[in-house]
Amino acid sequence: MKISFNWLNDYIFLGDKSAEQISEILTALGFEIEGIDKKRYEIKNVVIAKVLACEKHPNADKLSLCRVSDGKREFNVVCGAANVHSGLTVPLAYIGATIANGVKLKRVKIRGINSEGMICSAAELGLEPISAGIMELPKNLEIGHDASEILNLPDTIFEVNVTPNRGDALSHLGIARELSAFLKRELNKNRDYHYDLVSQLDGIDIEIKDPDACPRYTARIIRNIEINESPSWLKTRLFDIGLNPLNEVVDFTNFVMFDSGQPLHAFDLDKLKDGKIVIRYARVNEKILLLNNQTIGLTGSDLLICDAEKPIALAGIMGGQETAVSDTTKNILLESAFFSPHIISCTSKRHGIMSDSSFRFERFIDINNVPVSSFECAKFFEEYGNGIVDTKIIDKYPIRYKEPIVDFSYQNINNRLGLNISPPDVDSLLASLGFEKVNSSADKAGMRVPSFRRDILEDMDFAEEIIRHFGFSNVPVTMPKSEMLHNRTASKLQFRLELKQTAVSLGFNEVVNYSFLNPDYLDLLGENKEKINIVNELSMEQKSLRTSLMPQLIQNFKYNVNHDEVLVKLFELGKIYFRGAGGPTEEKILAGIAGGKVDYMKWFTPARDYGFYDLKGEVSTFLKKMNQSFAFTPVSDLRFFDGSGFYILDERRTKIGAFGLASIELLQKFELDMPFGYFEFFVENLHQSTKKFAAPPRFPSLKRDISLVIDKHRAIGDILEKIKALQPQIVEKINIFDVYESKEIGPGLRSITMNIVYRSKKKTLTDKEVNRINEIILKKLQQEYGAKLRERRGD
Amino acid sequence: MTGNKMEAFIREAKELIDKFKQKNIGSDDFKQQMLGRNGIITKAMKNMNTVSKEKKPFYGRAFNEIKKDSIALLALSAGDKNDKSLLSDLQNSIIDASLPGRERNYGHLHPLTLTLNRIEEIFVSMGFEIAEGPEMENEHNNFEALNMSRNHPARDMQDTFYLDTGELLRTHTSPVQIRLMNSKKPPIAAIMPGTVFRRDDDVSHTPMFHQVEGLMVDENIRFSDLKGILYEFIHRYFGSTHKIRFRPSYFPFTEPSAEVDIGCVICGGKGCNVCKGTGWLEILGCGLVNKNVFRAVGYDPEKYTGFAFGIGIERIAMLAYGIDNIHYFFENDLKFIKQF
Repeated sequence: MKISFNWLNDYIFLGDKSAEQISEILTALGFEIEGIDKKRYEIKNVVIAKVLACEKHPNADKLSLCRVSDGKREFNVVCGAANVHSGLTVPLAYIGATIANGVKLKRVKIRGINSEGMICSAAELGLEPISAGIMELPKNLEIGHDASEILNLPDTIFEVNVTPNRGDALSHLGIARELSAFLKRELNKNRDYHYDLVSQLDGIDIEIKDPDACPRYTARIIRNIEINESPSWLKTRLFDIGLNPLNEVVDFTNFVMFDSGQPLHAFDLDKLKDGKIVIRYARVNEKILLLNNQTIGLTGSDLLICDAEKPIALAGIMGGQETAVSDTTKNILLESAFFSPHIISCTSKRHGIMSDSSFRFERFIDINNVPVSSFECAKFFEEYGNGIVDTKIIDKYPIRYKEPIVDFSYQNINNRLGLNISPPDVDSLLASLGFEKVNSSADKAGMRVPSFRRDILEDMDFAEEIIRHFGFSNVPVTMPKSEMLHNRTASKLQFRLELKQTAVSLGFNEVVNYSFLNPDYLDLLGENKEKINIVNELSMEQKSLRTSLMPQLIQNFKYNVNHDEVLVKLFELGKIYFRGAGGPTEEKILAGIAGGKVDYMKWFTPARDYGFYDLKGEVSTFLKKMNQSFAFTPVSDLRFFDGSGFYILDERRTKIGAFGLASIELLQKFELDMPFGYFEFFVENLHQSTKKFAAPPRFPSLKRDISLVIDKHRAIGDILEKIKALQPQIVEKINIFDVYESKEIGPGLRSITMNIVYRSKKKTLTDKEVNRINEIILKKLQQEYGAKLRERRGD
Repeated sequence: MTGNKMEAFIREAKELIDKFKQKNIGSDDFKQQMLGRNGIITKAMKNMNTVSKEKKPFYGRAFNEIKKDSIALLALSAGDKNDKSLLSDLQNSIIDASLPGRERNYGHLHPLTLTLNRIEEIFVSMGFEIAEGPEMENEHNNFEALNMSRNHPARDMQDTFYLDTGELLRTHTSPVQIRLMNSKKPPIAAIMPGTVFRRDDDVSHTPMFHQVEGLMVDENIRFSDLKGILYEFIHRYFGSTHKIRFRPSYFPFTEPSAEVDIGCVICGGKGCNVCKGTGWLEILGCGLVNKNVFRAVGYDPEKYTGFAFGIGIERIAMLAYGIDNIHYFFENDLKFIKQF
């Protein structure tokens, strides 16, 4: 909300404060200043002057030649405005003056006549966007005085962030009230007016159908108005807080709203059928054409203002087009009311229409202020609009608001804040904020809450008032005396961090993707988990919650490949979401993607493509590092290239993950020509075992190399399993260090060289023992696989 | 002619090395003939005074290299007598230290992970436990129990994604507070990190981001204790000289509520673009737990008091690393991630 420094000055003397000081005070009170905009401070050498004489320019029809006096000297000024005439009090800019937007006034000849200055319009002083003519100032202004000073030209506009609980502060009055309490300065505007509240007025009939929805409705009649432009000072005020001045009716009601917080609405009285006002809920299929030219279909929960036959306004939100004030309006009915915040909020959201008015009604306006603001607005019509104001206000007030009394304990509040503020200090603060102490006993007090502070409901609300005004900086810094803080629990996040760090140590980079994506990408995977969709998505790209991390990782992979990365290894630890047996389900997945050139452009080794054995090796290393017992079992999965896809199972055959190279089909679907490997671990199924110590071997190992030639389609893994099964106790490890095919070996065959590490846990093995065992293994392999064996002695 | 004498020593040394490599000479003999008291190197050094001043450094270096290679060869032959490839490697082993080393391909954690880890470490070391909750939440936990009824104006601040299952995507980590308090009695001291979602996607907002919620409930927890914990956190995270400001604010689930600013990390408080000239940067929101929240979870609001706070992880990461656009976190460009 925009608040004008000058406007605040109407309510409270702030002449001794700088804009920065006010900004600091308001921020400290909980009204954060998000911006300070200084207006027109650059206007110089413009004075109040009088037009002594005015005649037609000899060489131009539309120009006038004026004799203007600043009290000391007289000037010949050429003026193009139609409204210039002798006797006017006007702002005069001297040659060399600085006017709006920093423009410097130069001496000019207009149609052959020197102009010794310029009579300014409000726009030329930066007071409004466009002016029709020159500014006509009140006659009582002192001639020769600096216009900038007299017109209060320099102003500062604060952008104030008013929190949703403080509807009372959505006006200059509201902000001034806070400053008044803080600075201990009285508000200097007396708002005790005299007016007649009546329940009946000739020709006007008001009916409230649901008093909960509209506890108070006032109306006043203003007759015989001429709708003109508003006075320039008022236009400036509105213009400065970001509104476009339109005409007196719109400007006056707006002014009052930003002045004291009460939204008002003016109806063209002559367009109201039978002079009747009914406040009721909409009927089914009812429609209204609003001031913004939008026709909306209403529901039974929308509150309307109606005349005898039709809706004339969407209560508290926006007026209707049919009864709107126009150029020909003579008589108006001015509405000032209080509507239920809940109902206004629902209707505003339902139809997506928000206005300055609904914004205030939603946050509670001051019910006691309803007729006061109406009076202030009527005064404007009287003063500037030549209207005849009926002194009577019809006030329908079926449920009279009773200001609540809220109790609190001084001690309790001090305890909760960690402060020690004396009861008299608290009382004096609360009194300055408008609270009235109505009872007190020992440590307790009861405060009557003013009607504008609907946010004060219980004792802690006073704690908030106290801490706002005494300042957070006065609260000491202490440490909680709670046994909880002696608690040290191991974090389950620690495990996830270890998973991430393991992936990092294998060269994978962590990415973070949105939890939602375009469902098409999930469909490309042939996912069979049932998707959950966002109902009010911002775009199709954010429509479905992901049932797999794969599509986004592929996108990330593609992005980086396209951005000149030669080896792309990425992982993400995130959630997938789907409809499970027990309802919406979330599961944590760690997934990775890798592809590109390994050792690209290295002087010490040739580059190669990232391939299946890289992927398998990294998956295995990962699982070993994370202490998982695991086995790979081949799977046919459309995502994976034939024969490269595996599930990872734990010792109980529970699936803990999967990996494989992308199938050609998948690459085509995602329009990618760079092959990649993919793995995923189901984080919840991984074992978070505490590590158990096993004594390192005490006896030396013996190694033997074996070379054999076998059918190239035979899986080497089977042979390794066989060897281990034969001598489970002493075969510690088998390293395969050479695999090749060649013409010499023969077609359909391949040579495998392995190094078997033998070790006993109980004793030092002798050469003889190991040779014997090795012999047994060789024979067995010969029998079972028909392999051609070549023994090589290891070290 | 002295040059020739030195050249002869070099030739002799190289022949000896070749012999050794071809296993035509044992390592003991090699050692004696090369490095021994009457070995080639010793002889060469003794003759160094016969070399002209200009050439001394050259021969000095040459024989140092020969000596180093010889020692290396001996070490190798002692270590692995079978592996000839290593030996042949060594044949060309002139070290050019200006060549790049064989760097390893190591990955990088995402800056959000790094930031969250630091935050967690600090709170865990202060005795806070870690709790988590689902991202698909119900209205009650995300709003009602947190003192935000259906048409509460504060809901406008958190535009919500709704799901076709009837759930919503949580708009903050605060519902985890509700779940935690529903599952146990005080005392509680916990932080609750997690992913949150708001229907907002523009230059300065992403529809998904991360928060760490904090909650402490016990008898006699005071606002000053909240200050104590947060001062400790901020000083440990940003440095102990950092200026801190508590500013009144409003959240439905706390009262009184505050936003906490730190002196701008970019300009040091003088005022710059990042802090919009104020010298302050907002880093978190906090307050005493609103009595209505305690009522919603069945805690006695007269007996227990507590505080809660919420920290935006992206915000902290942006400030700490000087990242000027929140969208970097989700673009997943390696050129970004590899900086961390």
